[in-house]
Amino acid sequence: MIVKIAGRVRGLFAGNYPENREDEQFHLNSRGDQIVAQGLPSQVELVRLGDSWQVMTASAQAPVTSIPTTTAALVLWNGEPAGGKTYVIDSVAIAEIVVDATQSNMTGAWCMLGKSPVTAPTDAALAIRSLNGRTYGGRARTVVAGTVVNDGWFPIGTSAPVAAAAAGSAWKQTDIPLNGMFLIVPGGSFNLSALKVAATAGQVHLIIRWHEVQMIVKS
Amino acid sequence: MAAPITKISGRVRGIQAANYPPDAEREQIHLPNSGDANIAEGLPTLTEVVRHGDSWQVLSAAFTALTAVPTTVGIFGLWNGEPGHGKYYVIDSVCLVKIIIDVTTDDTMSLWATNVRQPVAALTDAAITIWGMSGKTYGGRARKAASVTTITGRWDAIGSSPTSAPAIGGTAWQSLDVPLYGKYIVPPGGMFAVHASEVTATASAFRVLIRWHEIQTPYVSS
Repeated sequence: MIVKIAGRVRGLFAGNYPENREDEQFHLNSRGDQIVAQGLPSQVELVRLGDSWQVMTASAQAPVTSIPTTTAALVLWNGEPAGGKTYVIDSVAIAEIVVDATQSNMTGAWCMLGKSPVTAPTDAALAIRSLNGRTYGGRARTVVAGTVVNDGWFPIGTSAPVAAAAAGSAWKQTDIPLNGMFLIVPGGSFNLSALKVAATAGQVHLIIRWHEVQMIVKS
Repeated sequence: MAAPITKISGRVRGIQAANYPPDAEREQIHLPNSGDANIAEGLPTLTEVVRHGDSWQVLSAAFTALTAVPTTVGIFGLWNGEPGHGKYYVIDSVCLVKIIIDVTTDDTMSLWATNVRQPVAALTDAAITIWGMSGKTYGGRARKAASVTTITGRWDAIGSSPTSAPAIGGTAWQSLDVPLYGKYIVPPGGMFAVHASEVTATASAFRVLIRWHEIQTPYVSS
């Protein structure tokens, strides 16, 4: 049997229903669109499930000065078995802790998805931090300055503004929301590098944030 | 016999949200007193479409920007090679990146896009790899090429330019990533093309990335 679900059409005024009434209908506009209100900030529902994580390089890295090929500054490898959890990449960030050497440089973020199966790397044992205060017990491995197969690097994000003087250029941060644009299936990897004109030693920390989700992914 | 109409009602949320136990099966969905439906996102925005395995990206070769608004040439084009009523390409985002430093001044960069109406003659496919956003190998019908034919007066400026470096020597690796959220839809036989502009055209200073989702669904095409 087909049941038609009906809402109440909102005219020029929203409702003003008393609390705990149980028989108020949801609203739709005169076009037929359902009207919604976000109950929580967009990430809360997923993060509260306790499988959202982030990792940062333990020691700051020198950025590279050309498009990466077979070396990645920070690698996140999905060590789940086949059919296991997929890593939904939430965002990446680059934090600069040392001033530029010559002049204020732009910073570029480049990423690469390593196609599964990627050989299991030796874990760098970076501390994987939870987004809701848990201790990590998953199968992710991380690598710093890792050797990788070049499966196609690409730029991401819009560059952050640069200080006028080189002396003021430290503490620039570039935080790039990806909102699930990249999915890392079991055995795959996500790779991140920072690009600048001059490679100042120990200048940048790299951060990857992700959610581990059991889902069906067409592979 | 007409199907019965069922009115779906919710519980009006006051100052406090509920705290229902797991697996409760008889709790109502909430709504604020205005009558909107309360929602909470289960996954980051793009996850649901990307998990279907038809989300792709391609990075152009290096090119020289214009010093004017584009006219009859797009520096990089993505052509939809699907048959009629095949999949259309939902343009997700475009990312322009400067790969070498400017020569004369530290230039601001702008990004332009155009959606060329079908039928567009099939492009001669450039040997550039299309990469999956979930690690798949591309098996679709898209073609991409440099220096494609476009139409004067049909270009849109997209995105907000990033602040340029104060010194010319620091201008490389500047990037402009523009989320388009499906603003452009490329039907079978159509083409999406981009170009860039700056004050002084430094040779081979840029590359551009196009990301898209291939979707099979009805759409209005004429």
